[in-house]
Amino acid sequence: MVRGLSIGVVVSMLIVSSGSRAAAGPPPIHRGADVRFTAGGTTKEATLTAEGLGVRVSKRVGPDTVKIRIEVANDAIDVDANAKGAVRLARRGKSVSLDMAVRDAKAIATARRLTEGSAALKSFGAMIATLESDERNAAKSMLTSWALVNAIRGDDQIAIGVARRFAAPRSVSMTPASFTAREEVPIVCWAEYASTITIYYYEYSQCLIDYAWIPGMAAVCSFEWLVKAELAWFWVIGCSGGVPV
Amino acid sequence: MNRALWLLGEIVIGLMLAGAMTGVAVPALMRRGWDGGPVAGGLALGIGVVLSVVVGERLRKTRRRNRLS
Repeated sequence: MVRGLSIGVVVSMLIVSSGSRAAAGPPPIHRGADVRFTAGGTTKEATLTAEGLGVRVSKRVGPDTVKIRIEVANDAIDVDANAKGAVRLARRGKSVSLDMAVRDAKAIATARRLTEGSAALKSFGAMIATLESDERNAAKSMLTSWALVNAIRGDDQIAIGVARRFAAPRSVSMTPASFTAREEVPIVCWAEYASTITIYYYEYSQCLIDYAWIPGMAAVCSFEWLVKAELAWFWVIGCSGGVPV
Repeated sequence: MNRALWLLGEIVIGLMLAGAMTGVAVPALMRRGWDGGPVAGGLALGIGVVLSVVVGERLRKTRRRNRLS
């Protein structure tokens, strides 16, 4: 299973990266101050670069190959992989080649030794932590790269987690009325609602003070408040799973 | 009009009524330092829906009586 999964990771990298080539244009995509993506490439090769938290991860994806470079100021790791499962990992002039279909324990141990204490890998891990909930193709592409690097080092858990994450939405055949991920409990939903509705009320009061002198604007303020209050109310019902208790 | 549809309308209006009620009541109560919590929300929902259904049914019966007479 793990063997198939490892090959699957490489193949999914190619698929996800191809998607990012189609979805993302040349201008950089900013997400707060965390990670900046730059996508580009030619008709035969797509490139994607992620920069943030002191690390730069660049990917070059061809029809059957993927080349990844993870670099920080004083450290760099290169990974070359193809769709057949052949992978080459290089760092500081040393390299190791392994077949993901065979997964030779000796080669995995060498890969682990080669990347031990790597600042580039640690920074890449930190970058991945900030991209955990990011649904963009560029972020997914980085996640698969992280899964591949860890699979090369013998850690399959991340690859399994990524595979589960990508597979999960396909099993959902309908959009339920209430939230499916019940991380929130009614008391948390209510606290959020109470603070939001109070803010809306103050905004409404301010709107009346500022604009009520304009004929009809009091009604506009009231309408705006009513719509926002109703939306917040239906949100709290959905958040609590049907009834706000 | 179909009775079930009328009832559905009453429930939807009741939900919206409860939303407007809590929209006014919650900030006012919070200013006085009292937060009813989700139970108060459920109570408001119940009151809104029941009130809407009761008033709606009365309205529907009056309409029907007027139409028949």
